[in-house]
Amino acid sequence: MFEHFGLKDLFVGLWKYKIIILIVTVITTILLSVVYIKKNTLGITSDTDSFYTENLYYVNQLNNETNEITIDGANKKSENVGQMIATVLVSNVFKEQIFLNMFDQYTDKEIADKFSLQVNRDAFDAEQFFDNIGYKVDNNVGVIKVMYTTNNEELSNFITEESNKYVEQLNKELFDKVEVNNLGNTIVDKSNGVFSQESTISKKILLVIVMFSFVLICIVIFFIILFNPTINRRSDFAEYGVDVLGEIHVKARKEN
Amino acid sequence: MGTSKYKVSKGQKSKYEIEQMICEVRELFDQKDTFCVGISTSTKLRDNKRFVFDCIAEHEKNNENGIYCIDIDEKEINKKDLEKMRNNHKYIIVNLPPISISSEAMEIARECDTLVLVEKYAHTKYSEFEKTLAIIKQENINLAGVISA
Repeated sequence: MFEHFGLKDLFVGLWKYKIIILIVTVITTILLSVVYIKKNTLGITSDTDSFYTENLYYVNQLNNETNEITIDGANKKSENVGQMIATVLVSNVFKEQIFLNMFDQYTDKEIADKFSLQVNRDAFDAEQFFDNIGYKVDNNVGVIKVMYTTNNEELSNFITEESNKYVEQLNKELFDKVEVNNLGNTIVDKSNGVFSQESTISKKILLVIVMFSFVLICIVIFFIILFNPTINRRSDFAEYGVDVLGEIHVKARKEN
Repeated sequence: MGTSKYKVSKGQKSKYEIEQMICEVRELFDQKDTFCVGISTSTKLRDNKRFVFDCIAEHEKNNENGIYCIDIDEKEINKKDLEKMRNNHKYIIVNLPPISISSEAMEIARECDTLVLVEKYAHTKYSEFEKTLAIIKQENINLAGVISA
């Protein structure tokens, strides 16, 4: 079956399906981009989540030569302190700390009434809960953005307060190395119809998606032409002892 | 027919290719003492075959001793009709549907002196072409060659 297949035949086949490759690449790129953006879009994870919150912090690294600092009792190396703080903010430890503080301040009944949360202190999974409310931290150009959605405004306020407390604590611990400024906390009530959110896709990711789509369709085309080989040149007819009396190219057909 | 005997510019190439193809078809009649040539294809790309047939028909329509072109999609013919045409025309070309899918085309192809297949590079599948060749061999039809269009 594969005796008729060679590298030239592969290129002939790819050229033959060029329009399909182009269209499918574009469509796949659009679909994958939409999926990527949706997956990385925060705040709109559930129709029942009515409050979208953004907390912005500016990280000013006071000493550029400092590449080793202590956060949460552990020495960590990084050229980007903002990235490190963002990592802590999205960590399980930090999330659990939020709820430990909540349990310290409120009883189960108060938590249920105030935050609309039914919690079991003995088997509480902060990570799972944060997955449900759509929590994410971004770190770009020294600005850390903590974003999340909840269905309870009090809960949004509580998480914001805990984030701010953590940042204040960082300022005290790393006063000679890093200065973290709170640029503002915004809670948007989506139920009033004022919610809007930016979501973008970087050029690098887009390029990867385009390349992935292109390679994917090329692989599919490869198998199509591998299992359905075509006669692509004069010598292919010669294999059967058949003469080629004439060759008329596509351009000639159109001109006629 | 091998590579071009004459050098032609890019703009002239298209018409030249068609002229050369018609010359080759005419030579079939002259060299092999042929009266009737059938044009068929192994693929479902009938447009290409129609194009070749139309080129020949257009070329020969004003030629007093030209080739008489019959399209059996437009005009049904049988063995007797072909015999009658022998008396009135010197050369005949019959446009046939793919012989692998049409028994009627097969009947007429048997009556033709030789058969020419119109194929298209990158579209004619080996399986289809081999199937057509097997039928041609089985029916003992004389295959003159292929025109790639």
